[in-house]
Amino acid sequence: MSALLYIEEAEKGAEKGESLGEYIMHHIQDSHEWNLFGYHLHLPTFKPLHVLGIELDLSITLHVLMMWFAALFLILAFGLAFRKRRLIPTGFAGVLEAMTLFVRDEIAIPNLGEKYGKRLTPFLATMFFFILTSNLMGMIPLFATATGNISVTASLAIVTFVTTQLYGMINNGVVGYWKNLAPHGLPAPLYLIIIPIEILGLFTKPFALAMRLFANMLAGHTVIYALLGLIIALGTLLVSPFSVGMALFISLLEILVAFIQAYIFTMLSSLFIGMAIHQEH
Amino acid sequence: MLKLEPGMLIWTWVTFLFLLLVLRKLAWKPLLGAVEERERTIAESLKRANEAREEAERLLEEQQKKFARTQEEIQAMLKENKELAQKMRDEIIAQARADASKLIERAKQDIEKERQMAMQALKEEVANMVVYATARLIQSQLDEKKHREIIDQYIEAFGNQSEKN
Repeated sequence: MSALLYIEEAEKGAEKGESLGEYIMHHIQDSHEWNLFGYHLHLPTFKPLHVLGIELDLSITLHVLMMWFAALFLILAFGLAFRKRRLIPTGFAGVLEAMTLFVRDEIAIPNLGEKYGKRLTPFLATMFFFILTSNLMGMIPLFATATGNISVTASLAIVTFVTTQLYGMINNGVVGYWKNLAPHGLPAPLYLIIIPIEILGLFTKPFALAMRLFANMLAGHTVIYALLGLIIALGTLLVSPFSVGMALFISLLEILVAFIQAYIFTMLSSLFIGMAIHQEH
Repeated sequence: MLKLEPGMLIWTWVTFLFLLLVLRKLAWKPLLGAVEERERTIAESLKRANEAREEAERLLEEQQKKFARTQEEIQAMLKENKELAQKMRDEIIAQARADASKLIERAKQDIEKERQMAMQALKEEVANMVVYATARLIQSQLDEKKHREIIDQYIEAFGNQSEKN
């Protein structure tokens, strides 16, 4: 259905002289309107605020709206599933519990140890479910993928970065944490190289985190749109079985990727936090 | 497209923090609490089951020991009884044998006495008969008293001779 809408829109765009590439980009990017069956719902925009010389545009964009939907969905899902406290959950609550326990037992505790693993499970589980829901929302017609926006993924990566430094300092002391960043007992000239590398490493980790999630989510959608765009680009319906078939295949792959990327983001987050807590140097 | 938008960053943080706080209260606390409670319950049940099993094993062993001890006692008692019975049997038999031999002895003595008495009576009878026969036969002047002495001497000699034979 979304494919049909998309093709229709792309044809309109083509009439206006918009290239297919531009159209795909336009479709993937954040916007100030929500396309509901061809009806463009205009989302509220605010005048940019200027704080400390930074232009702050707090408009409710499509991706902000999508994040809210994801948050709302999660709150409703968990709220309904865990209305009653039971010793053994059934049905949907069981699925949610299994996934949460997976986060706790396979992601948090192995990387962070028993004590910090249990303490950080809520944080990591929230991250996992939020990213997973956002990723999967892109697969539903009418909805967009907030995690296909570099600002969103960077924001989440910064949350991980801040948590990493915070827990590193909580566990090792403020001075101890920074002192232990570089390994001890090396010849002095080596420190000239190692200290910049370690400091750079602090920032490359969350950068890689942000880029990986963003690129993965964007790529899948781009490929799907490009495959469907073939129908318009070639101007024939004969290619549509191939286009739709491939798009379907990529869509299924995308569901897998949605899970894998949510897992990887959470896994690496806990790994980085764990490395800061248990400084091996 | 690769530009970071500060507004977007802030909205993400706001949404994420809000979600974290709400889910912490709504989901993680009941969920993880229930899981931990369940894990504790399972661990406790396992421990209790283990303890019960050990207790049962201990009791079983105790009972088996007790049983073995009882068995031994029974065996010892049986053996003792058997020995006692054996002893009593032997005693009874010995007693019976002694009684029997005593009876036989007495019977022998009785027989001997009877025999002697019979022999005595026979001797007297024979002597009387001989005296009578002789007196009748020879009609001699010998007085009966003198006569009898002579015959008694003869019979005595005869009796002794026959006894020897």
